[in-house]
Amino acid sequence: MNENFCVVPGQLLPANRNTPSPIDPDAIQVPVGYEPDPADLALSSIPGQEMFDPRKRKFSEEELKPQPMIKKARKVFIPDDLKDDKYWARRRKNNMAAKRSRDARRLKENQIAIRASFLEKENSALRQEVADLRKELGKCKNILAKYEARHGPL
Amino acid sequence: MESADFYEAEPRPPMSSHLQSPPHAPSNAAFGFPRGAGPAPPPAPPAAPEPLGGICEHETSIDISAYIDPAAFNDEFLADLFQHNRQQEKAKAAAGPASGSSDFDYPGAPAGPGGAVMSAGAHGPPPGYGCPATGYLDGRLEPLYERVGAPALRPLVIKQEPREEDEAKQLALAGLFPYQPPPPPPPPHPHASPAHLAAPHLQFQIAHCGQTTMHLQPGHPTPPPTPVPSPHPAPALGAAGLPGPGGALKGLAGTHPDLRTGGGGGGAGAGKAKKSVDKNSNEYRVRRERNNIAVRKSRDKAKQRNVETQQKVLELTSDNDRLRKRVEQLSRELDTLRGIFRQLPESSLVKAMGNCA
Repeated sequence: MNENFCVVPGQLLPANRNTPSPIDPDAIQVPVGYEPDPADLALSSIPGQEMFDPRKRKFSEEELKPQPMIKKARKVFIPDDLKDDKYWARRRKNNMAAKRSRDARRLKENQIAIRASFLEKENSALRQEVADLRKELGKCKNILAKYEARHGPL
Repeated sequence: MESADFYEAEPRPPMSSHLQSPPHAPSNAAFGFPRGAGPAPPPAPPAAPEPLGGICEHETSIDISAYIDPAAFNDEFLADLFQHNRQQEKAKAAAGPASGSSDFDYPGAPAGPGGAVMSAGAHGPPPGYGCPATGYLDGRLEPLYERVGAPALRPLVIKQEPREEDEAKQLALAGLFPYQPPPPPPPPHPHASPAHLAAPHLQFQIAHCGQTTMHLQPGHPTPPPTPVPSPHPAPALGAAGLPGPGGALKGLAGTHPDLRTGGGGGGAGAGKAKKSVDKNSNEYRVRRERNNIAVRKSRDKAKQRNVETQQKVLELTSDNDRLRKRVEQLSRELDTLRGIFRQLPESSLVKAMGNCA
């Protein structure tokens, strides 16, 4: 995974543009040196599909809510003579379904975990970016102030 | 009833801090002194439900021996209960607290001393805590657990064994609980401190009878030496939990025949051999019990972790969005300024800039 995205905000604009156009905040990307552990990544990706990318895969709020279980059938003990083929067929189906469900759940959980750790890194990178920009801004304002001191207000 | 005083005695500081300012000294309470002298308000009703709820939690180990037909008791009965309870637990967990109270309908009328104790107004029952009648075993308490989110609670509950249980098994179960309850922040009941768990679990059985809750005080690193609990009718329990675990059961051991069938200790459950495991053996049951607890603990921990992670993702997402907007705004400002600078004659700027770092 190549993680190095350029920092868009730092670009210089052509001289004929006085004011910069608004940047879509969502497009803002900050370099996040994040490499998830390949093993974790493998656990979070479905073999037939794209590798799980914590950047792109956002989980909607709905997805993130825990899924409560409802109406669980009671377990009734079935004596052996009633365990006919149909019974076993049903058991098999249910067992497969249960397995699928468990796997899906585990996958999703892993994905969420990776996304969480990615978000953390991105978060701290963004904070750093904010800090840097403020510093820079401070300097510029400083220059401006000195200029204005000499030459009067702009 | 004197039991009221005992309940009042429990300070339970770790629980809901804002509630714990009872005017009594824990040490006094420990010995169940009647509160004639000091402030002796009726403990249960005026006190906030919380302490009682907390008390109730300890007291969830009710004596259900009254409900259990001794003849009916055998391991299969137990097994069913386990299964049944797991079902209930899932169902309840999903259904939420509303169903909690329904959980407490026991087949038998709560006529026995256990029932009487429970209904003794000592704990005004906040249904949320489900203190009444959630006696038997883990499953019953699942709903309580789920609601309260106190993993520490379970082992307390599990300790409730019908008195027909063999002495050895009870002892074994007592040894079951070097359980270090995880102290997750949300659950307000980290009261199951290892220290007091270390005391034989029978103490809980006793406690529910309205006897002293001294052994349950989480604040005390070690339970106070055991004065024999007040002569409360405790048919299930024999003597109070004593430092010597064997002592507690003396009353039982002598009187009750070993109801366990088959293999007893000598079952083929040697080590971990899967073939020929004697499901009736005491050891098997004990191991199952242990494992069940461990499983539940582990699953709850995992569930908790997932919930937290999801929460974190939500938070971080919104934080990141906010930060991005900030970045965007700041960079726009910067660019504006830079644009201005570009407009200015270079020379004057250079002079201005020469002064700053």
